[in-house]
This record gives sequence, structure tokens and C-alpha cells, in this order.
Amino acid sequence: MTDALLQVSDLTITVPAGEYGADRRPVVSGVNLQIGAGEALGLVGESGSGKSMTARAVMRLFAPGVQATGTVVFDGCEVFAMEDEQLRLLRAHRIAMIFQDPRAHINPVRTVGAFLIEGLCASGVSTRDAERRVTSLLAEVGISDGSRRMAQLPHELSGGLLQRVMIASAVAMDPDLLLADEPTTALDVTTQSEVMAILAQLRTERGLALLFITHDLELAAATCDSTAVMYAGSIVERQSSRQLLTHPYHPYSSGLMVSRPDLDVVRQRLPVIEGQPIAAFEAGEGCAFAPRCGYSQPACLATTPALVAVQGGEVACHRASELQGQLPTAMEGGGDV
Amino acid sequence: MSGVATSMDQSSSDRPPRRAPWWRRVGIAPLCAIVILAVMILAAVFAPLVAPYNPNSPDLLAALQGPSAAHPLGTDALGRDTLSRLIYGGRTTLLGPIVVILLSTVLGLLLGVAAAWRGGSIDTVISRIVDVLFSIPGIVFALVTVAILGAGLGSVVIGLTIAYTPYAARVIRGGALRERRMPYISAAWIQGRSGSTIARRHLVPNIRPLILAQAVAALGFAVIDLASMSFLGLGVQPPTPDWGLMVKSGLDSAVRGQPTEVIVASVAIALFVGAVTVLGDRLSTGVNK
Amino acid sequence: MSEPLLKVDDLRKVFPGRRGHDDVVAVDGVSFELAPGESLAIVGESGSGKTTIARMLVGLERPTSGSIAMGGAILDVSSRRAKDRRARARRLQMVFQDPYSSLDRLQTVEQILSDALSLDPDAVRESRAEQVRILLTSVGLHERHSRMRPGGLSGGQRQRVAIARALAVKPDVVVLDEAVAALDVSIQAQVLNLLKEIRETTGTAYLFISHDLAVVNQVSDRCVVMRQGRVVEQGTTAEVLHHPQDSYTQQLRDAVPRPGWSPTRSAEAPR
Repeated sequence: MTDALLQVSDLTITVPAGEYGADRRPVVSGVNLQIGAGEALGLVGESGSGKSMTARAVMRLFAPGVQATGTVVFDGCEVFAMEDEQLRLLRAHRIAMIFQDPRAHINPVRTVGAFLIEGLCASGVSTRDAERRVTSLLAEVGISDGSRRMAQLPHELSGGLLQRVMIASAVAMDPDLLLADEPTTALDVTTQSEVMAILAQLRTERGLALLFITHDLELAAATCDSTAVMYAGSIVERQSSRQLLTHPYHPYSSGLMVSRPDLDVVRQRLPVIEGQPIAAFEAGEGCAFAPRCGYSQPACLATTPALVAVQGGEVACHRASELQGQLPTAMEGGGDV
Repeated sequence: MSGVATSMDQSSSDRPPRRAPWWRRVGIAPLCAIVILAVMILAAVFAPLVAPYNPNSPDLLAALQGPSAAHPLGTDALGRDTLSRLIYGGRTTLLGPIVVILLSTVLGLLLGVAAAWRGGSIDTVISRIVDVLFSIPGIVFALVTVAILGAGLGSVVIGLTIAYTPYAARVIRGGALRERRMPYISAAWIQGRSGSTIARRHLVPNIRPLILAQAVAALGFAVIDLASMSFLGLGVQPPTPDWGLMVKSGLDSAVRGQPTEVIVASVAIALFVGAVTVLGDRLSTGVNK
Repeated sequence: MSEPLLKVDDLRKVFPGRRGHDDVVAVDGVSFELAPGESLAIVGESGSGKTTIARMLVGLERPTSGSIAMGGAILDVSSRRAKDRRARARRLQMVFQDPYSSLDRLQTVEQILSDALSLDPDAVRESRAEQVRILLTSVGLHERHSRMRPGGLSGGQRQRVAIARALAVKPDVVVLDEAVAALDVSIQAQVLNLLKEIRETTGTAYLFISHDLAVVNQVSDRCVVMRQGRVVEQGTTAEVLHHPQDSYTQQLRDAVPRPGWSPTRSAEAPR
């Protein structure tokens, strides 16, 4: 346990309920997760699940008013207890982050090159060396005409190219962990495939660990070693990606898989999860998913299920052992064909 | 503002957060501003009821007095009660700018929305005219109208309305252009609504907060411009009580050793402009949210 | 094959280039037909011109050349007159991608739907309130939603309102421009089922604009694959998706994440 690169324990994040007043509402409640060196964890959830907040907590990136409890231990250091300088070094050298909308995270009036060499120069590398390193980084992310691109402004690049630039910038300082918050959601599918391939390659070449945030369970499962599914601010299931696809333990994971249309099978009706996703503070008594769950029983509404270890992973469902092996998966086509 | 589009899913079962008391939601400074403006406007409206004296009846025996029980804010060079003149003076001082803002906002709305909605050459023509007018200081328009129509509140109001319209038009055009690109406007257009219906039913209501915020912000400037014109002797004419005129006559009194009148009138103008600015600021934060 | 309901012939759209830039050919000679009650998907990535086609069909953009015919008669999509737009709207409706900005946040659901219903002058059979109630029920919403404003509704509910608005005048064709792309996975399935159900009960034809091949497979009978303004392939959805003739279609298919999938880098230089 202690040798995990990142260990998040009992993370709870609250935001102010209104503009004024002391009321707070939880958006993440009691999240535990760990990532070993070089490992990739997919964190899957719908809107309001708290997946992005969880990722930001790792870097202690909070908007004003957001409060977090619990611990985030990165390589033996407690992130929430860090001094400002330590935190700055952590963000600059050890953990990097890429986002859904790269355009919002790059200065639009400075050239791509200036943006890329900035971090390197700040850490004492000469401009010429920085440029040389950045050019080779760009080649690594599939931009062969790096020197031309570096002279361009962000708006001259397509979304896919800009995301590659962000990835190059993220790995420039050779971090140990990359947080990727829906980095491909705004991209075309073919571009998404390329960006994911680039991330996979960087991981193997550099031993980079990855926390991949997405709403797309199939994408996470196909690209990460293990996958955690979040619902209403809590992790409801975590196991190896391969096993999750074939043997989901939680009805929500199963529901997410089967409600996605398939490329080969046309269904008369897609099996749906009724209702709509909720945030942590909207959850009532008992299991937060119970009101939408096709397998819920009165007992589900009584107590909140804890995340318990099961063979090959963890699940938070009162009926997990009964339902084991019975939940439909995407591979089976989810029943009525 | 209700129903601001957010990127997060807000479910209908969403329990509304417990609301903070209304005075906390408004904020302390804007609240003070509202109180100040309300007191000033109510006093001006009900001047005959609240003013202790006739603002125009001179009492040369009591001229140039400082604050006393009989005259809380003293008297001017002709012995007229400063408090009463202040209360009555609010009428012209505040009415003029309000008329200017109302007229310029309506004109600016028509021009701005027309430019944004029709686009093309209409937008070019309107925008160029607005740009040209924009480059001329407002007070110059007021001086020109006074030169043509003669001194008086009416000519100054006309001049400043011309000066303030481009300001309103430019802000509203910008807001309307942004709003116009929203898919709900396209949806209404596809449904076959006429341009004027879309503007009236969808576009203008949705930019109302912006219109209001800019009008309030401009009001502060209009008060200063009108008071300046009166101070120069080109706006409100004596003996009508007016804050700008009071600053002028108060300066003479100050030279003769009694500064109360000029201080009172200047503070009144500053308070009003300050309160309006604070309120405009609060309204535009609401717009950006 | 029956007489096509909608016939798009050699449609082109050229956007004039901004200062110093070349003109942009967004749609370059596209032709397709849509039969009554059929669901046709236009598939493509960004820059393929699929959204421009949708916008030309509903009159939001003027075609540079080419024609659009409905029921055998040429549809004048260039006219901006309210009367012509109303005539088009009675036959052709549209649902937008973003359920947050495609509804006026100041209107109640009832006002939004009443506005749409007022397009049909001879629909006076039931009271307006009753018509709104029927519409809401048909998209799986409840009467109580009619007094709410979009701000009080979830993304999925808003998209249902947008669908109800499009269906109000019983159009022949609804253009759905990425109508489920912005929805959560669990909500997307609900809306896809609703769309299928509506088509089965009303016989409305769909023109389904999407980048998502799995969604296209679920909702469309036929599909047109576009790339950079041109049609690269069209046919029945099953044929095109299972036996793609064009390498680009194959590439699109290979890029869809699914169990056992791994991302690949194409040999092409990124644009």
C-alpha cells in the first residue's frame, strides 16, 4: 500500500451552498483511490459525479470557497499539508494536468513556442536547449513540423493539434503523474484515437502514471489498466479494466455499458438507466444509485453501502455478491436484440 | 438572476440551497446606495412636504449663516434656506439626467438592436455614425444645443441625449450581437418569427440586465454633466434651485467666508453619483454571472 | 423506391475567406435523398460540412448553389421572409445540439411550446393548454413541467422540450444536429429511445447529423459519410458500417472505443 505513487484517502470536497451563508454541500464524499508508478487509472462518471473535482484535489487546485478533507499522499508527501513552495514544485515538476478545452488554458496572444519553453526556461534551461527539447517533444506527440508550429499562435491550430501541444507541455518537465480531465471529449473520434495512442506511448516510454477522467466507460476501459466508476461523489466500483468489461459488480457500471449504443448491434430499445444523474448533495438516505437502480430492494435505501474488496477489485453495492455474474455487459449486447 | 445557463446539470429535484437573508444577498454597499437614492428621490418628489422653507424666499437678515437649529444646513447669500434648496434642487438635478438616460437608452436600444440584428450595411452605417459621435465629448453637444436653442434645462437635456445615445447603442449592440448567435434565437427564426418579434420577445428581454446596468452607470455621468452645465450658467437658470447652481453660488459664499452651501451641494452630487456607481456595479456583476 | 420526401441535389456552400485567406468550401456538391418516414444519418467529423448542410436545410445559411426539393417542389431556402420561413417550418424542423442555449431561458416551457404550436393556424381542435399537455406527454415529460423555465430542468429534460417544440406542428422532417451529443450517457439512451418511439408512432423522417457511429447505427436506416465537404460513401447503415467501401469510413469505425479496442495513430500528419 505504501509504495503507491498516489494515495487518496477519504477525500471529501464541499462547496458553498449559496453565495453567502455557512451552508456547504458535498460534491465528493469519501473517495479512496491509488495509482502505482506508471499505472493508468480511468475515472468514469456522468455530470455531477465529482470526477473532475477529485482530479483537481490531487494538485490542490480548488476554486475559492471549495474545502477538502481527507488526505492526498503523493510519493510519500501529504499534498494538503504542503507549503506553497513545495506545492509549486509539485505542480511544476511532478504532476501535470491536461484539460478538455486546451484553448482555455493557453495564452491566446503568445506563440505556441513561447508557451512550451516557458516552464523549461523557468527551471534554468537555456532558450536554445529548451527549443531543441520542445521540438523533439512535439515530434513525440506526432507534430513533425515543430519549428513551424512553434511560431504560430494558438488560434491557428486545430483542437487536436492544440491538445497535442498541451500534452507536450505537460510532459516537458518529465512528471511522474499526468492528470487528464476529459482530454478527448471535444475532439473528433479519429483525433481522440490518436491522442489516446500518444498518451499510451508516452506512458510506456516515460513510465508516466495517468489518472484519466472521462464520461466514456469504454474509452477508459480500453486505455487504462484499471477503471473506477463514480456516482454522486463516490466511487461505486473499481477493478481491472478487462474484468470490468466482462464482469461488472455494480449495476450502475453495467447500466452505463449497456445503455451505450453499439457499433454492430441495433436494439429495438436501448436498455436505459431511468432518471438522471445526481450530485453527492442530492443523494438521499441509503445507496445514492438505488432510486435509479433496476435491482434495488428496500434495504438499499436504508444504509449507504461501503466500498468493500471483492475478487479483483472493490464495489459499493449491498447486493453485489447476489448479482455477481448476472449483470449484463456490453459484450453480451444487454439482452433484447 | 434566475435560470442562468450553467455547464453543470441542474436537476429539477435539486433542492434549492437555503437562501441567505435578502440584505446579505444584495450586499451592504449596494444596500446603502439604494437607501441614499431612495431618500434623495423621495425628498425631491415630496419636496413641498419635507422642505422646511420656501426655497426661493429670501431673508437678507439671515444671509450667509452656518448650520443652526432654524437652518440645519445654513443659508445662502440671499438668506434662502440651504436644506430647502437642496431638497427642491434634487428635482431638476435628478430629473434632467433621468430623462437623458431614458431617452438615450431607448434610442440606443433601437439603434443597437437594429445594427446587431440586421447586420451588413445597416450595421456598418449605424456603427460608423456611433463611432463618430463617440469621439466627441458629451459636453460639446450640450454646448452646441445651448448655442442653437439657448440656455436652459431643455436644451441641455437634448444635447446630452444625443451625446449619450452612442454610448448606449454601442453597449447594447455588443450584447445583442452575442445574444443573436445563441441557438434559441436561431430556433425562433426557423419557426418563422419576424425579426421584430424575435427582438421584442427574445433578444431584448435576455439582454435587459445589460441595458439596465449600462443605464445606471451612465446616469452617474449624466448627473455630473448636467450639474456642470448648470454651474456654467447654461443649464438650469436661477432662481430655480439646482445642485449645480448651488455649487456656483456657494463658491461665492465661500469666498465671503461661508462654505456650508458649496460643501452641502458638492457632497449631495458626490453621494448621488457614488450611490449610482455602486448600484451600477452591482447590477453589472449580476449580468456577468 | 417511393418518391423522395426531401431531395438535395449538388448542394454547395462556399464561405468567403477572411482578409487574405482563401475561400472555404464547406459543402462541395452533396446530393442525397430522404424517403418519407426514413431516418438518414449524415456522419462526419468537424469540418466535414455536416452541420452546414443542416443549417442550409432550415434556412440559417444560404446555399451557394444546388437545390433542395421537398415533395417534388423546389424549396426556397434562401428567402428570409417570415411568411416563407413559416411555410418551411411547418414541414422542416430542427433540434440543436446544446439543450442549454437552444431554449430561451426566460420563457416557460408552456410559452416555448405555445409559440411553436401557433405556427399551425388551423390547429384549433383542442385548447392550447391541452395541446401543450399532449406534446409534453409525447416526449415523456409531465404537465407540471409546463410552468417551469429551462433553468429548472435537467439537460435531458431540456432536450425533450426542444424535441417537443420541433414536433409541435407535425413536420415531415426533423433535422437533429448532434441532438444527443451533449447529453450524459444514461440520458442519451433515454432520448435515443424516445426518438425511435416518436418515429414509429408519427412517421416523422429524421435527418440525423452526428459524429458518433454507434449512435448512428442505433437510429438510422441509411447514412451518408462526409469528409471535408464531400460525400465519401452512402448506403444503408448496416452496409456502410459493417462493410465500409471507403478507407475513411473504415478509419472512423476503427476509432470508436469498444471492448478490446486500442487506440491507433494514423500515418497521416495531423492537420
